[in-house]
Amino acid sequence: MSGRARSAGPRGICGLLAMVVLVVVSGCVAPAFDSGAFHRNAVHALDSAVGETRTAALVLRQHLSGRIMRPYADTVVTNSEEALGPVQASFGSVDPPTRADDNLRDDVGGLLSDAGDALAAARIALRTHDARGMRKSVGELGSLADRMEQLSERLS
Amino acid sequence: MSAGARTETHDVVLRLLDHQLVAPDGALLGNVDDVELVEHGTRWLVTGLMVGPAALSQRMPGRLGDWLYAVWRRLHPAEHPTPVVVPIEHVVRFDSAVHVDEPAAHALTLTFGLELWLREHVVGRLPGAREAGGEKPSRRPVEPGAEKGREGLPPAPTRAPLDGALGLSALIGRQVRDAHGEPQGRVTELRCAGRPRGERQEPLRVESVVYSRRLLASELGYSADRQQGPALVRRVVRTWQHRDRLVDVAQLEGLGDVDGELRLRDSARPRHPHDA
Amino acid sequence: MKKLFALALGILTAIGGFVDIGDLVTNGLVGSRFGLSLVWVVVVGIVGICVFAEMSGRVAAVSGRATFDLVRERLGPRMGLLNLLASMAVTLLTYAAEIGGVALALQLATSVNPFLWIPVVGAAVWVVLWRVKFAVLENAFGIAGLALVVFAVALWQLGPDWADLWQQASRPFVPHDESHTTYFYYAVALFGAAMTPYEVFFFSSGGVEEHWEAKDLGTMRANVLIGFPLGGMLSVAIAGVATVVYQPQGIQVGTLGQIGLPVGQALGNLGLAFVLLGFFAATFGAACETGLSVGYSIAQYLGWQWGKSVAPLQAARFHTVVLLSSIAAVGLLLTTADPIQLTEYSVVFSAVALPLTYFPILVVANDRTYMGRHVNGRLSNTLGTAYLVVVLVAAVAAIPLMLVTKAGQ
Repeated sequence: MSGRARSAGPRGICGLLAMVVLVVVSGCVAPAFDSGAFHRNAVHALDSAVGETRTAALVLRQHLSGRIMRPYADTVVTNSEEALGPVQASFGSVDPPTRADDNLRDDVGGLLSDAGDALAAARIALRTHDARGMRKSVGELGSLADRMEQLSERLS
Repeated sequence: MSAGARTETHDVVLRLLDHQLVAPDGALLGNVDDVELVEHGTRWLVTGLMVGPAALSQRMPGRLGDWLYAVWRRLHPAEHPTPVVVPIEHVVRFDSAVHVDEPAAHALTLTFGLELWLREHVVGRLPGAREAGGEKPSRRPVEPGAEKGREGLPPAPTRAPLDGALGLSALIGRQVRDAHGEPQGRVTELRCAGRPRGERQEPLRVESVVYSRRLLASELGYSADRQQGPALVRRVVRTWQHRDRLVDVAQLEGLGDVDGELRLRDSARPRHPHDA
Repeated sequence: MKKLFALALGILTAIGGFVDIGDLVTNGLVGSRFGLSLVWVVVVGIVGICVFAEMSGRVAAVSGRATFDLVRERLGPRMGLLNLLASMAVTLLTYAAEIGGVALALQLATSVNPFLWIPVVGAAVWVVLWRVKFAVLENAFGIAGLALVVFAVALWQLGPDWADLWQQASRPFVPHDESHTTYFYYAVALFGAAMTPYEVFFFSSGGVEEHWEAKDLGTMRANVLIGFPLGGMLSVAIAGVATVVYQPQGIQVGTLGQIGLPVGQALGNLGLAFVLLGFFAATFGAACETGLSVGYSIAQYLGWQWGKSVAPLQAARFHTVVLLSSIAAVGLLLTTADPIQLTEYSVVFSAVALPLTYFPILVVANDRTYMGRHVNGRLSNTLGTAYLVVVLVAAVAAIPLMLVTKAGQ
């Protein structure tokens, strides 16, 4: 009993902790070293945004047909809007590695910010019981999602 | 079990150390944090079970152990606190737990400083604490005289360690060398024998010592029971422990030293524990 | 008749109590990204938790010793302490995730910010642990958790292409837009969600609380061997609705709201009400189980009196640990940690910590001095050994996979 685990113990735990920190940190930072990495970043951001806009469109449609109560729908739309923020921020923080990627940065950034606006509009329509606004948002979110998906497919 | 006259052998590290102490009414009384060993003539006897942070701290690695001991000393109301020992005579039986008799249970509950403090200052002040929440009635308060015993039987239900007593944990891990000074392994287990006499366990006699070159996995029980499954684990542990040896305690010198190494006599004939 | 009722109650409780925040989040997420191609892992996990819970329940019933009692006696105080620290870190993480899950469920019902709910929920969980009887606590949340059956109803109502779902489940493949490492990372996460260590700490300690004996082994086995697989079916249903609704649209599930949304789509507000009740019961019940597990495990390691079947004053140290861990879990959440992310980490670290308690239980279930004729038989040992290998592989693979995939991105 004595003497055992003395070497494996604290060092093992420190190692584990260090790894955890590494994972958490590496999850946040996605540096773009070359054009390929930048493209992958763009695809990742677009795919996330597609998910959020489609979710919001889905929940609005269901709410309009009376199947999803307001607090639930509100929470889902708000969550989607909140989830888009970090996606936008992390894509925006990476500079394009080449001049040729400048246009891509503008396209993706524009789409992401449109998505953010559409989600905000959807949330406001939902909270103000504005059925017409919600219907309009469903259409907007859907077409934005389609455009982002197309761009993402072209890039990957 | 027969009427008690038969001698039973126990591997004390496997069957006593770190086991739960249980009162006759099922209350949980701490773990066996160490085992008290006393040299008696030419024999070594297991005379008591040590319970509490003082004993446990001796088995914790380095600073953690020192720190635990210092905290215990600091917070203990007595000026020169001593570790708590339950004499083995108060053990009724041991199976998956160590069952002690009522006087020992009473006396032990009084030694749990943290429990008593939290009961009075924290948990007792929470709303609803004093309403009956459980199925069992509260333990009766102990008569003041109960913790002090007199000479003769029954011995005091708890006491300080005996003079010259050795903790089992001080023995575990000590190096064993053969007559030529070659290291043979470290002590992992004591095989003891004793005769339960009615409700009281008499002191166990240390019969033989097991030592191993590998301390890891020594407490899993595979050296006590050669059939213990599952087969894959048994095979791995057996390979791992194939150089384990068991030797008669009389063939070892230096057991009584507080530190230092043990030496096999020339006449020692160590065997694998399974061949004993 | 009474016996039959007790048996049925036990099984129903086991079904409803099986799913927790880890199962909800991981199954929803995996369903939306990988379809049913990882259902095999859920099956492996369910059989695993049956094997593990049956062994530890049997040991608890026959020897009266719960998990951390045995860990300390077989590994010694040092290894036992490392084991305790690792297991409690994971359990505390899970505790926080469950409390966060309750807050998210309440947000869905009220649209009130979860950070306002978290302290309320933490306090409520603690009050339940402090005041409510063990049997009431276990049964009430277990039965209410059965509301999650609505996911199975919704799956049926959504009218999926069953042949296609069966194809996905029976011939697993990695979807074209996902890498093999992510696939296996989520395999480990699903395994950890199904085989969470606290479930066994709670199950074995609960057996001791309810004074199980060898004669109760039949009931215990029925609970485990019928209840857990049926509870696991709920996990599959959750993955199923996510597969049907989200996978074709390319939506990655990341919130509790998204997980329940398909049920609203299929069954309307009534279905949604069941979802909310189920979410609440599953997470609140699991919060109670994890909170108690922290207290149980630490008390068992140190030999303290523990349990809810004794008067609180007799177990002051145990109740103090439960109180402190509740405060710690709420504190962790109030650092604005995202409960969903906490959940995702907690299931992976569950897989890492699993062998630490699995192995000692496997050994003790083979100890003939304790177990007598209830020692592991051939079947238990064959499965037990096979799962020892599985559990070790998952534990070793978990962290490298986490690093390589950046936690599944």
